[in-house]
Amino acid sequence: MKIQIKYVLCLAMLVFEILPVFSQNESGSINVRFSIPEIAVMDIEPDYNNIEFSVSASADPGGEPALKQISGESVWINYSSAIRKNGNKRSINAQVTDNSLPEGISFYIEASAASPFGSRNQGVSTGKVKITQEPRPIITGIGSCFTGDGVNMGHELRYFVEITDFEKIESKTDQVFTVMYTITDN
Amino acid sequence: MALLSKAQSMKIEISGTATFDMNSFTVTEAGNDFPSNIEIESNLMLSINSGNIWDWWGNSNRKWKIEVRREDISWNDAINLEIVRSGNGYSINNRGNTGHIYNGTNFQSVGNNSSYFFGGKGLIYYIPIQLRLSGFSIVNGANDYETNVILTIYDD
Repeated sequence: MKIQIKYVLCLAMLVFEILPVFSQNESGSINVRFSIPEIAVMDIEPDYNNIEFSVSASADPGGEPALKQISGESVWINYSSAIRKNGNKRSINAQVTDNSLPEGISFYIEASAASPFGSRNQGVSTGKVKITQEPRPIITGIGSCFTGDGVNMGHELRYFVEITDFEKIESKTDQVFTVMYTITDN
Repeated sequence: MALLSKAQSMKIEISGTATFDMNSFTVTEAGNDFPSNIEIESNLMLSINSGNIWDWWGNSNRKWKIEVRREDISWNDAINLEIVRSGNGYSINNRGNTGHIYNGTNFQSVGNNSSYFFGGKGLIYYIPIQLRLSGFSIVNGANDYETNVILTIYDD
Protein backbone atom coordinates (compact mmCIF):
# COMPACT_ATOMS: atom_id res chain seq x y z
CA MET A 1 0.00 0.00 0.00
CA LYS A 2 2.81 2.41 0.87
CA ILE A 3 4.53 1.74 -2.45
CA GLN A 4 1.40 2.59 -4.49
CA ILE A 5 1.14 6.08 -2.93
CA LYS A 6 4.72 6.85 -3.92
CA TYR A 7 3.93 6.02 -7.55
CA VAL A 8 0.97 8.41 -7.59
CA LEU A 9 3.08 11.23 -6.15
CA CYS A 10 5.88 10.62 -8.62
CA LEU A 11 3.46 10.64 -11.54
CA ALA A 12 1.88 13.90 -10.42
CA MET A 13 5.30 15.58 -10.11
CA LEU A 14 6.25 14.33 -13.56
CA VAL A 15 3.12 15.88 -15.10
CA PHE A 16 3.82 19.24 -13.53
CA GLU A 17 7.45 19.13 -14.64
CA ILE A 18 6.56 18.53 -18.27
CA LEU A 19 3.93 21.26 -18.61
CA PRO A 20 5.42 24.68 -19.24
CA VAL A 21 5.07 27.48 -16.75
CA PHE A 22 2.03 29.68 -17.18
CA SER A 23 2.12 33.46 -17.86
CA GLN A 24 4.65 33.67 -20.65
CA ASN A 25 3.56 36.35 -23.09
CA GLU A 26 4.18 35.87 -26.77
CA SER A 27 4.77 38.77 -29.12
CA GLY A 28 4.92 39.35 -32.82
CA SER A 29 6.16 42.43 -34.61
CA ILE A 30 5.49 44.33 -37.82
CA ASN A 31 8.29 46.41 -39.23
CA VAL A 32 7.10 49.76 -40.61
CA ARG A 33 9.69 51.62 -42.64
CA PHE A 34 9.50 54.39 -45.21
CA SER A 35 11.39 57.38 -46.56
CA ILE A 36 10.16 60.84 -47.37
CA PRO A 37 12.16 62.04 -50.37
CA GLU A 38 13.58 65.48 -51.03
CA ILE A 39 11.02 67.62 -52.82
CA ALA A 40 11.37 70.90 -54.72
CA VAL A 41 8.42 72.06 -56.82
CA MET A 42 7.44 75.57 -57.79
CA ASP A 43 4.99 77.32 -60.09
CA ILE A 44 3.59 80.71 -60.98
CA GLU A 45 -0.07 81.60 -60.42
CA PRO A 46 -2.18 82.25 -62.36
CA ASP A 47 -1.01 79.98 -65.16
CA TYR A 48 -1.29 82.63 -67.86
CA ASN A 49 0.62 85.59 -66.57
CA ASN A 50 1.67 87.98 -69.27
CA ILE A 51 2.94 91.25 -67.91
CA GLU A 52 2.81 94.22 -70.28
CA PHE A 53 4.57 97.57 -70.09
CA SER A 54 4.31 100.53 -72.42
CA VAL A 55 6.99 103.10 -73.08
CA SER A 56 5.53 106.25 -74.59
CA ALA A 57 6.70 109.75 -75.24
CA SER A 58 6.26 112.30 -72.52
CA ALA A 59 3.23 114.53 -72.69
CA ASP A 60 5.54 117.48 -72.03
CA PRO A 61 8.04 118.50 -74.67
CA GLY A 62 11.53 117.53 -73.52
CA GLY A 63 10.22 115.39 -70.69
CA GLU A 64 11.17 111.82 -69.89
CA PRO A 65 9.28 109.00 -71.61
CA ALA A 66 6.40 107.60 -69.62
CA LEU A 67 6.72 104.01 -68.40
CA LYS A 68 3.53 102.28 -67.46
CA GLN A 69 2.51 98.75 -66.53
CA ILE A 70 -0.58 97.96 -68.59
CA SER A 71 -1.52 94.62 -67.12
CA GLY A 72 -2.80 94.79 -63.59
CA GLU A 73 -2.89 91.10 -62.84
CA SER A 74 -1.41 89.94 -59.56
CA VAL A 75 1.23 87.24 -60.02
CA TRP A 76 2.26 84.85 -57.26
CA ILE A 77 4.96 82.24 -56.84
CA ASN A 78 4.08 79.01 -54.97
CA TYR A 79 6.45 76.30 -53.85
CA SER A 80 6.74 73.13 -51.78
CA SER A 81 10.11 72.04 -50.48
CA ALA A 82 11.42 69.17 -48.36
CA ILE A 83 15.11 69.12 -47.50
CA ARG A 84 17.10 66.78 -45.30
CA LYS A 85 17.99 67.81 -41.78
CA ASN A 86 21.08 70.04 -41.99
CA GLY A 87 20.71 70.08 -45.78
CA ASN A 88 21.28 73.24 -47.79
CA LYS A 89 18.39 75.64 -47.95
CA ARG A 90 17.03 76.58 -51.35
CA SER A 91 16.67 79.68 -53.46
CA ILE A 92 14.48 80.77 -56.32
CA ASN A 93 16.39 82.40 -59.13
CA ALA A 94 15.02 84.47 -61.98
CA GLN A 95 16.58 85.17 -65.35
CA VAL A 96 15.55 86.46 -68.75
CA THR A 97 15.31 83.87 -71.47
CA ASP A 98 13.90 83.88 -75.00
CA ASN A 99 15.10 87.19 -76.38
CA SER A 100 16.82 89.91 -74.50
CA LEU A 101 15.66 93.13 -72.95
CA PRO A 102 15.45 96.18 -75.20
CA GLU A 103 18.58 98.35 -75.08
CA GLY A 104 18.51 101.11 -72.51
CA ILE A 105 15.88 99.47 -70.34
CA SER A 106 16.44 97.57 -67.10
CA PHE A 107 14.00 95.08 -65.70
CA TYR A 108 13.48 94.34 -61.99
CA ILE A 109 11.52 91.86 -59.91
CA GLU A 110 10.64 92.20 -56.26
CA ALA A 111 9.12 89.29 -54.36
CA SER A 112 6.91 90.19 -51.41
CA ALA A 113 7.24 88.58 -48.00
CA ALA A 114 5.58 85.16 -47.83
CA SER A 115 1.85 85.19 -47.23
CA PRO A 116 0.78 84.05 -43.75
CA PHE A 117 -1.19 81.09 -45.11
CA GLY A 118 1.79 78.79 -45.62
CA SER A 119 4.00 76.94 -43.18
CA ARG A 120 7.08 77.98 -41.29
CA ASN A 121 10.49 77.84 -43.02
CA GLN A 122 9.33 79.74 -46.11
CA GLY A 123 11.91 81.81 -47.94
CA VAL A 124 12.80 85.46 -47.61
CA SER A 125 12.64 88.05 -50.37
CA THR A 126 15.95 89.53 -51.48
CA GLY A 127 14.19 92.78 -52.36
CA LYS A 128 14.18 94.49 -55.72
CA VAL A 129 16.54 92.58 -57.99
CA LYS A 130 17.76 93.55 -61.44
CA ILE A 131 17.02 90.66 -63.76
CA THR A 132 19.40 89.78 -66.57
CA GLN A 133 20.19 86.69 -68.59
CA GLU A 134 22.17 85.38 -65.63
CA PRO A 135 20.13 83.71 -62.83
CA ARG A 136 19.78 85.90 -59.75
CA PRO A 137 18.13 84.97 -56.46
CA ILE A 138 14.86 86.72 -55.68
CA ILE A 139 13.94 84.45 -52.71
CA THR A 140 16.44 82.68 -50.44
CA GLY A 141 16.47 80.58 -47.26
CA ILE A 142 13.75 78.14 -48.30
CA GLY A 143 13.64 75.22 -45.88
CA SER A 144 11.13 72.40 -45.56
CA CYS A 145 7.87 74.22 -46.16
CA PHE A 146 4.82 74.86 -48.29
CA THR A 147 3.27 78.16 -49.35
CA GLY A 148 -0.24 77.12 -50.30
CA ASP A 149 -1.44 76.80 -53.87
CA GLY A 150 -2.93 79.60 -55.96
CA VAL A 151 -3.04 83.38 -56.07
CA ASN A 152 -2.58 85.17 -52.75
CA MET A 153 -0.38 82.24 -51.62
CA GLY A 154 3.39 82.38 -51.37
CA HIS A 155 5.14 85.50 -52.60
CA GLU A 156 3.60 88.15 -54.85
CA LEU A 157 5.89 89.19 -57.68
CA ARG A 158 6.10 92.83 -58.64
CA TYR A 159 7.73 93.86 -61.91
CA PHE A 160 9.43 97.14 -62.72
CA VAL A 161 11.11 98.59 -65.79
CA GLU A 162 13.39 101.61 -65.76
CA ILE A 163 15.01 103.57 -68.52
CA THR A 164 18.69 103.41 -67.67
CA ASP A 165 20.17 104.80 -70.86
CA PHE A 166 17.86 107.04 -72.83
CA GLU A 167 20.33 107.31 -75.74
CA LYS A 168 19.92 103.61 -76.46
CA ILE A 169 16.14 103.65 -76.59
CA GLU A 170 14.83 102.93 -80.07
CA SER A 171 11.35 102.91 -81.44
CA LYS A 172 10.39 99.28 -81.88
CA THR A 173 7.40 97.04 -82.24
CA ASP A 174 6.40 94.88 -79.28
CA GLN A 175 9.37 93.31 -77.55
CA VAL A 176 8.68 90.01 -75.86
CA PHE A 177 10.91 88.24 -73.41
CA THR A 178 10.39 85.45 -70.92
CA VAL A 179 11.42 85.27 -67.27
CA MET A 180 12.35 81.82 -66.11
CA TYR A 181 12.23 80.92 -62.40
CA THR A 182 14.23 78.04 -60.98
CA ILE A 183 14.18 76.57 -57.48
CA THR A 184 17.64 75.41 -56.62
CA ASP A 185 19.81 74.18 -53.77
CA ASN A 186 22.08 76.93 -52.52
CA MET B 1 -8.98 22.01 -14.13
CA ALA B 2 -5.68 22.65 -12.45
CA LEU B 3 -3.98 21.44 -15.60
CA LEU B 4 -5.85 24.01 -17.72
CA SER B 5 -4.36 26.92 -15.83
CA LYS B 6 -0.93 25.46 -16.42
CA ALA B 7 -1.40 25.52 -20.19
CA GLN B 8 1.34 26.77 -22.48
CA SER B 9 1.05 30.42 -23.48
CA MET B 10 -0.66 31.21 -26.74
CA LYS B 11 1.29 32.56 -29.64
CA ILE B 12 0.88 35.36 -32.14
CA GLU B 13 1.91 34.64 -35.68
CA ILE B 14 2.06 37.47 -38.20
CA SER B 15 2.28 37.02 -41.93
CA GLY B 16 2.42 39.53 -44.77
CA THR B 17 4.10 42.90 -45.12
CA ALA B 18 3.34 46.57 -44.68
CA THR B 19 4.41 48.52 -47.73
CA PHE B 20 3.93 52.11 -48.80
CA ASP B 21 3.11 53.59 -52.13
CA MET B 22 5.90 56.12 -52.48
CA ASN B 23 3.63 58.21 -54.70
CA SER B 24 1.83 59.14 -51.49
CA PHE B 25 4.80 61.31 -50.64
CA THR B 26 4.58 63.49 -53.70
CA VAL B 27 3.06 66.92 -54.04
CA THR B 28 0.66 67.23 -56.97
CA GLU B 29 0.55 71.03 -56.99
CA ALA B 30 3.36 73.34 -55.98
CA GLY B 31 2.50 75.01 -52.69
CA ASN B 32 0.62 72.05 -51.27
CA ASP B 33 1.49 69.89 -48.28
CA PHE B 34 1.28 66.08 -48.22
CA PRO B 35 -2.14 64.44 -48.00
CA SER B 36 -3.31 64.26 -44.39
CA ASN B 37 -3.76 60.46 -44.28
CA ILE B 38 -1.72 57.77 -45.96
CA GLU B 39 -3.05 54.23 -45.95
CA ILE B 40 -0.48 51.49 -45.88
CA GLU B 41 -1.03 48.84 -48.47
CA SER B 42 -0.85 45.76 -46.35
CA ASN B 43 -1.80 42.12 -46.48
CA LEU B 44 -1.04 41.60 -42.82
CA MET B 45 -2.63 38.61 -41.17
CA LEU B 46 -2.47 37.79 -37.50
CA SER B 47 -3.10 34.31 -36.14
CA ILE B 48 -3.61 33.20 -32.55
CA ASN B 49 -1.97 29.81 -32.22
CA SER B 50 -0.79 27.50 -29.53
CA GLY B 51 1.78 24.79 -29.18
CA ASN B 52 -0.44 23.05 -26.68
CA ILE B 53 -2.53 20.22 -28.05
CA TRP B 54 -5.12 20.92 -25.36
CA ASP B 55 -5.83 24.32 -26.91
CA TRP B 56 -6.26 22.64 -30.29
CA TRP B 57 -8.66 19.99 -29.17
CA GLY B 58 -10.89 21.33 -26.56
CA ASN B 59 -9.96 24.62 -24.96
CA SER B 60 -12.09 26.77 -27.22
CA ASN B 61 -13.00 29.12 -24.41
CA ARG B 62 -9.50 30.10 -23.38
CA LYS B 63 -9.73 33.87 -23.35
CA TRP B 64 -6.94 36.13 -24.45
CA LYS B 65 -6.31 39.77 -25.23
CA ILE B 66 -3.83 41.49 -27.48
CA GLU B 67 -1.97 44.67 -26.65
CA VAL B 68 -0.08 46.82 -29.10
CA ARG B 69 2.79 49.28 -28.81
CA ARG B 70 5.50 50.88 -30.91
CA GLU B 71 9.26 50.43 -30.60
CA ASP B 72 10.82 53.29 -32.53
CA ILE B 73 14.06 53.07 -34.40
CA SER B 74 13.75 56.43 -36.16
CA TRP B 75 10.44 58.24 -35.73
CA ASN B 76 8.81 61.62 -35.38
CA ASP B 77 6.08 61.94 -32.79
CA ALA B 78 4.12 64.18 -35.15
CA ILE B 79 3.44 61.07 -37.24
CA ASN B 80 0.47 59.12 -35.98
CA LEU B 81 0.45 55.38 -36.66
CA GLU B 82 -2.93 53.70 -36.32
CA ILE B 83 -4.01 50.08 -36.41
CA VAL B 84 -7.34 48.37 -36.96
CA ARG B 85 -8.68 44.83 -37.09
CA SER B 86 -10.47 44.67 -40.45
CA GLY B 87 -11.94 41.16 -40.18
CA ASN B 88 -12.72 38.32 -37.82
CA GLY B 89 -10.39 35.64 -39.07
CA TYR B 90 -11.30 31.97 -38.89
CA SER B 91 -11.78 30.03 -35.70
CA ILE B 92 -11.01 26.33 -36.07
CA ASN B 93 -12.06 25.11 -32.68
CA ASN B 94 -15.15 27.29 -32.75
CA ARG B 95 -16.03 26.09 -36.27
CA GLY B 96 -15.63 29.48 -37.85
CA ASN B 97 -17.91 31.14 -35.34
CA THR B 98 -17.01 34.81 -35.56
CA GLY B 99 -18.48 35.70 -32.18
CA HIS B 100 -15.26 34.71 -30.48
CA ILE B 101 -13.35 37.87 -31.39
CA TYR B 102 -14.24 41.35 -30.27
CA ASN B 103 -13.11 45.03 -30.26
CA GLY B 104 -10.32 46.54 -32.35
CA THR B 105 -12.50 47.41 -35.34
CA ASN B 106 -11.93 51.16 -35.10
CA PHE B 107 -8.58 52.71 -35.94
CA GLN B 108 -6.59 53.40 -32.80
CA SER B 109 -3.27 55.11 -32.23
CA VAL B 110 -0.22 52.99 -31.57
CA GLY B 111 2.03 54.66 -29.04
CA ASN B 112 5.14 53.73 -27.14
CA ASN B 113 3.08 52.51 -24.20
CA SER B 114 1.27 49.21 -24.56
CA SER B 115 -2.50 49.52 -24.96
CA TYR B 116 -5.38 47.11 -25.44
CA PHE B 117 -6.12 46.28 -29.09
CA PHE B 118 -8.66 43.45 -29.21
CA GLY B 119 -9.62 40.24 -27.49
CA GLY B 120 -11.07 36.83 -28.17
CA LYS B 121 -11.09 33.20 -27.15
CA GLY B 122 -9.74 30.02 -28.63
CA LEU B 123 -7.49 29.72 -31.65
CA ILE B 124 -8.25 32.13 -34.51
CA TYR B 125 -6.37 32.31 -37.77
CA TYR B 126 -5.86 34.92 -40.47
CA ILE B 127 -7.26 37.95 -38.73
CA PRO B 128 -6.67 40.81 -41.20
CA ILE B 129 -5.17 43.99 -39.78
CA GLN B 130 -4.51 47.35 -41.44
CA LEU B 131 -2.20 50.24 -40.64
CA ARG B 132 -2.68 53.93 -41.38
CA LEU B 133 -0.38 56.92 -41.06
CA SER B 134 -1.35 60.55 -40.56
CA GLY B 135 0.21 63.76 -39.40
CA PHE B 136 2.67 64.00 -42.26
CA SER B 137 3.85 67.39 -43.28
CA ILE B 138 6.45 68.48 -45.74
CA VAL B 139 7.63 70.80 -42.94
CA ASN B 140 9.17 67.74 -41.25
CA GLY B 141 11.57 67.49 -44.17
CA ALA B 142 13.07 64.57 -46.03
CA ASN B 143 13.86 61.74 -43.68
CA ASP B 144 13.90 57.98 -43.12
CA TYR B 145 11.46 56.54 -40.61
CA GLU B 146 11.33 53.11 -39.02
CA THR B 147 9.43 51.57 -36.15
CA ASN B 148 8.31 48.12 -35.03
CA VAL B 149 4.71 47.50 -34.08
CA ILE B 150 4.77 44.95 -31.25
CA LEU B 151 1.66 42.85 -30.64
CA THR B 152 1.62 40.85 -27.41
CA ILE B 153 -0.93 38.27 -26.34
CA TYR B 154 -1.99 37.86 -22.73
CA ASP B 155 -4.36 35.42 -21.06
CA ASP B 156 -7.44 37.37 -20.17
